[in-house]
Amino acid sequence: MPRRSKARHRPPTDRIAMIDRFPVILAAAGLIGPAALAYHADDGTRLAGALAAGHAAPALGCLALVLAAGASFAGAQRASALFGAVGGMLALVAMILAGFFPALAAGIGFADNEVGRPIGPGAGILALALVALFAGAIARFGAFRNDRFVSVSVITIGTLVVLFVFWPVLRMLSEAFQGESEARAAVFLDRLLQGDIWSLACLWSTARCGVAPNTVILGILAAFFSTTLALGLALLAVRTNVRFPRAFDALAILPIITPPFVIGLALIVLFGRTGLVTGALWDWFGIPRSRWLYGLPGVLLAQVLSQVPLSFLILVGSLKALSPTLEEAAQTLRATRTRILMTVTLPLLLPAIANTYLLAFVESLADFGNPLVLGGNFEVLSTKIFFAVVGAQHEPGRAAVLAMVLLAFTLAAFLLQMRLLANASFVTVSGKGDSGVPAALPKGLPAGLWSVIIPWIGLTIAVYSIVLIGGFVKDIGRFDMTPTLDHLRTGFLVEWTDNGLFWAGSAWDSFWTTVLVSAAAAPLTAIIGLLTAYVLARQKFHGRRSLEFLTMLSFAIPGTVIGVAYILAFNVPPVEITGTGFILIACFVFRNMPVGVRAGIAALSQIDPSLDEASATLRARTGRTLVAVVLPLMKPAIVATLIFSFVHAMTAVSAIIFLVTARYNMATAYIVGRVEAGEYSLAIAYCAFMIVFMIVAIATIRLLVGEARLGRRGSEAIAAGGH
Amino acid sequence: MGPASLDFIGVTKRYGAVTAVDDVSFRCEAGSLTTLLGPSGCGKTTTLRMIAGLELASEGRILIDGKDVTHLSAAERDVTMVFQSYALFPHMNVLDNVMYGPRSSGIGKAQAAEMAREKLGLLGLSGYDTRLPSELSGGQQQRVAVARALVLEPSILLFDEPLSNLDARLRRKVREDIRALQKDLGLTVVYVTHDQEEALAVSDEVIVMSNARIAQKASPRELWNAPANLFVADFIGDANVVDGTIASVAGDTAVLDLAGASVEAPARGLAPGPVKVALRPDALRLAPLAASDAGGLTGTVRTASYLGKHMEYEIETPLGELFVVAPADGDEVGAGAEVRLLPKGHGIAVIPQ
Repeated sequence: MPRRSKARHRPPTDRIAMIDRFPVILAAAGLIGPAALAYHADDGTRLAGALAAGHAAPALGCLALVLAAGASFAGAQRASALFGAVGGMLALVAMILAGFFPALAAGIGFADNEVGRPIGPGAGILALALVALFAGAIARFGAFRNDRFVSVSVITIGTLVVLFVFWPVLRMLSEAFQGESEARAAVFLDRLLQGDIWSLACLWSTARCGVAPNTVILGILAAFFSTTLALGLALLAVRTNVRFPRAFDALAILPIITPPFVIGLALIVLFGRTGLVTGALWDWFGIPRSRWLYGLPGVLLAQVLSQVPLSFLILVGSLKALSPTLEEAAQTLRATRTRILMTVTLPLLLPAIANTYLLAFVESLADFGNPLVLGGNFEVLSTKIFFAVVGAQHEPGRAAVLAMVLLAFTLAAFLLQMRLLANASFVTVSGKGDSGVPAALPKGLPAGLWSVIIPWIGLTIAVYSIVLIGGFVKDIGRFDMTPTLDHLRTGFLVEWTDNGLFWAGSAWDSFWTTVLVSAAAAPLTAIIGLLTAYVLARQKFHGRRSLEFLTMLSFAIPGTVIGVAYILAFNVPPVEITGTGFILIACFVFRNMPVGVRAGIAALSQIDPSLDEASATLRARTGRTLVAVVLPLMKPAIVATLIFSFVHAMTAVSAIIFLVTARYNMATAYIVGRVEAGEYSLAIAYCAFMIVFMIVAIATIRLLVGEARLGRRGSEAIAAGGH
Repeated sequence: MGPASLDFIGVTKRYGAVTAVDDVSFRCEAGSLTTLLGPSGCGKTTTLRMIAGLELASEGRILIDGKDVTHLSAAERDVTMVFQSYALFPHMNVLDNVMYGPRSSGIGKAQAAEMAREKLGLLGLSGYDTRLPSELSGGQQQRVAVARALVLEPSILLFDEPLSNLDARLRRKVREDIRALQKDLGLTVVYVTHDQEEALAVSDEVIVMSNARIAQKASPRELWNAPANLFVADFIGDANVVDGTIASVAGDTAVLDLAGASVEAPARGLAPGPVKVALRPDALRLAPLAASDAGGLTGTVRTASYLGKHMEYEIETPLGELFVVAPADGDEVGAGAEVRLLPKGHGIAVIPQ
């Protein structure tokens, strides 16, 4: 951008003569926030107290806000922008110094002691107002193509992502190097090169392998079996005459709304030492009871059971997108059915297969619930990390090293997947216009597939039946099938007393906490995720790639790693939020945000950019364009993001198990506690209750947000045009 | 606000290493219709988008009505646009679409609706208020897009290939409607197209663009009769570009030597010597070889295609292969025939280098 004429240009309307309300609103929020809420969390000091104590950071912040707002009132927009940019920047630097480098700040008089103090919600509001003020001001000087909305969005989102994703991970990495010795590298290497992490002894002896090989072997096996089964199922569903009932699609949502360890639980009830099937085998065939389930086989079985439906959905989509004309071409070239399958269909499907495989691999690595419930002596990284933190010997440094190893594995798989998807464009043969009949499967193949798939479907049905009925019979573990509501009553009894409703059940506390936290996190996730998608997909600015990478990074980080990173980063000032509900919400928002980003980008790619441009030429600024044009057309993505983030927050276990407290206990953590205490029936009843609740919640979200009204040819109208 | 003039002063637009528009300067007078014409990728659409403010210039200045708008965003410029895809908001009905501009400008609902209804009436769309865009025909959708762009009475109205999504029969009518509307309302219009016939038919002035630069800016007639360079001669009207020599110049008329044949053409200030010459396909007429031996070129017909209202020939001559159009009046010749080509006295232009 040339320097000669900067922000001196006045828009042709008289709007500019009006007061710019933006700095005024920010000043109001940034001053009222800390005046009403604590500036320092430790003693509840408000803004007045902090100012009286002579702290530089709040004083600078207030000054910047007041000057920017005052100049705007006086009609001096350029001065206002100057105050906002310079003052906002200085105040933020002062806050960062006082918060993160207290010793340094105290040395130059910015803070009153060298320890650093936790900031309260008031200071958080002040900091956010300053970030927005700064971002809005620099847009006046030509940043982000003079677009204040984009500037404020990008800088605010970037700041939050750095604070809640990048900084905790960085903090965790530094923890890995800190120990009793001063020699940082030695401490790190000593922790990293432990035999119980890397040992491969199980390959040649009866000794156990380290957790890293265990984790990778489990991941490879789980990915292989789930992808293979899903591929077989997809071929049967798309390429044979069997009409899968429409309910089959709906069933695919079940694993998504099932808490992750529930399948493990059901497997114990079926195949554990005293399980239903185990007992039957002993009674009828004399096959001795054993503990085979506890260890690799059980965890593997549980992971494959929960992964197959997702993999199936991806593969069915890709299989349907393959143009039948390619197979017809092969047929006219005299290829046999087997040859077509091997040389045309499967090679074209290969990127999707590889994608499914890597996804399942990452899911297996990140899984915490099933190894916890079924692992026995078989340890994987996620459980090992957990016990390093909460176990008898509290070793955060060791947990950090283990988390780094796990992060390295998932990041490698994630980057591989990104590269794969980037190069896989040849698969997306255009969906429309290609009519034709896909080639039939080779003779005998369907029968072979069915012989594997039918028992599998049977097992899946058995597992979910256990989940649905297990809580409503006396003791499913001992096959006492007398119907009872006792377990439900223990957990969810509601009594009507003189003082109104009394939530007597033991599960209500954790349940309501979970619902509140999830309900708070879902809209925030949708807003941040979709806003990020919009600026990434529709705006050009420097640092776009970095923002994209940062948001996607948090997707690749396993929950256990995030959990460890959060307690290490947020257990100390300045952002000391462990033990609050806020840390749970922040965790969910930034873990689930990438899903919103992806859904948003996918939805935006279906919306002709000239709609945004038409709106801009009709005098609508970016914010109005977003609200009036883009968001109404993105309703399906909004619904999907709301549902996903709500459901994931309800069912997540790996990250939050580190973050829950007695006061803010979450449903999943409570259920894990019941399982560990052997109260399977109550745990299963709770799961069933949650599943029903989530189905109702999903229906409610759909009803509230509604579907986009576009008329009969709506989708064509959106996608129309282009060059 | 009324129609305004538009000035581009040394405007350049770069995307990374690619220069989409390279040091372009021109002026459009208030109340005129200017067409940006050129092959795809020549920079005409980027130029249009810079007028709208959808792209910001990397260098140079853009003036509207003499005021510098170079750094203003699209929302801040008094320019509206009719998009190639119409870009009607699919979730709003016709009235809401047309009201969108006034509402965004802070005008009250009742007044915005009144403004919208007036423009809809002007375009013959009264009574369609509550229809969704998806319930309209292509031509109706386009008129809604025009009404939506007109409702703010912009200084400059832009059209981005407005006819490309219409079927061939409708194009001529819509083309004339746009021109009539522009003249009636005295609008300043900038219009992008890659169709030369469309450009010649509607424009006061045509700016031909090639490789990110302006190849020629001229009235349609001048563009046809006096192409400024090889690109324009070739791009407009399928001219045959051949080598010739200016034998002599007398006043404004030059006598050309085209492989021995002597023809006359406007001299355009050139001195005798070798020159490139544009021969329009209809500049020559076919005569039987034996009928006359007075000048002209001789040639052999390679292909002859019957197109109903005229014939198209490819004829091998000493000047090279020529593309010739002749009336299908019963005197057609077939492939292999030997013919004589005689100048008609128009459609021949020397090209200044």
